[in-house]
Amino acid sequence: MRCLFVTHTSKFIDMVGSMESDEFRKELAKLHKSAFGWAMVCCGRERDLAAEVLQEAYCRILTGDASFAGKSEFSTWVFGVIRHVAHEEFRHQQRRRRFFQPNAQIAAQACAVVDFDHVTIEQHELAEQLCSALEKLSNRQREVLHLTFHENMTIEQAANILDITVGSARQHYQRGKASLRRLLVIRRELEQ
Amino acid sequence: MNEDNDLKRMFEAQRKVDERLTPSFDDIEAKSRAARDFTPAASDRKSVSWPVTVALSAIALSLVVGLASWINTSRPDEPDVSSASHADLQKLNQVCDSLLVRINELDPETMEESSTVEQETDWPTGTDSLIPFETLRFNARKSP
Repeated sequence: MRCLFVTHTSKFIDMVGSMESDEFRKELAKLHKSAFGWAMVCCGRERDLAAEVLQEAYCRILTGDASFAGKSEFSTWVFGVIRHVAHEEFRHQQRRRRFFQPNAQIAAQACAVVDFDHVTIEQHELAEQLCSALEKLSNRQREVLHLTFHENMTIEQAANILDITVGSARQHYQRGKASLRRLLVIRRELEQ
Repeated sequence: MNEDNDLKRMFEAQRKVDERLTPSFDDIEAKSRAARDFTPAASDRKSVSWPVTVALSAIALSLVVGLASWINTSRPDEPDVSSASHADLQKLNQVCDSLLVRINELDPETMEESSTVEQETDWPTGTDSLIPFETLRFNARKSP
């Protein structure tokens, strides 16, 4: 799989021939948390699957299966690789689990709590509200909103990662945002 | 704008939660490196792919050829009809005609030979020298 993006803004062109370099590793480590968050979005918020996807993505990057041509920002390229891997893995997993694991188990697994000592109850509730609202949006809308709000990317960058036109990304962004607000309002009304 | 800020606050909360869920970079990287050691590089895979393709193609071809020959040999032997002559066929026709006559003369109620009609069937001569019935039937079907 070759991931080539159009925007020419990279300062990492020197790393093309040296995927093993320390600089490359440091950049990957810096991106790690965001990369995992993105993998979670691409995997329907299944933590274990997201970890697997991230591992496979790093593996492809290290083996040279996914090559960085320096035509985009490093983060854009990494996010693109993760998205491709996630879509492949998620499809396989969904097919397998349809037969072997009931949906309730999947949901329980997705909500598995690891360690929330440093997360306030309010943050936890907000995240939970957002999660359930985002689940009701389309994949594209969810992905665009994550990249713009969670990763503070521009719509152009999001379009680049998702391999769609900027106009299309903007449409997904606006419709997704409107739907998300509506869903959150409905939820609040129901809770009151 | 206010609503955007609300959403940003929610996404920020989600980021905090996600950060708690994130496995360490070293762990993931170590696993990736271990997996990479078991995975040949893309260039290596290309170099070994063609012999594998050739071998698999050869196996598939031999299987197809074997299957075809097995199907061919397992078909039942057809009777040899080359020896059946036109005269043999005419004799068979005579036999069939005689049989039809006898059948028509049967009593439809009892299916026994009618006592009123006593007629000796005129069997064609030389029936002993007929070739096997199956062969003749096959040939008769083919003849115009």
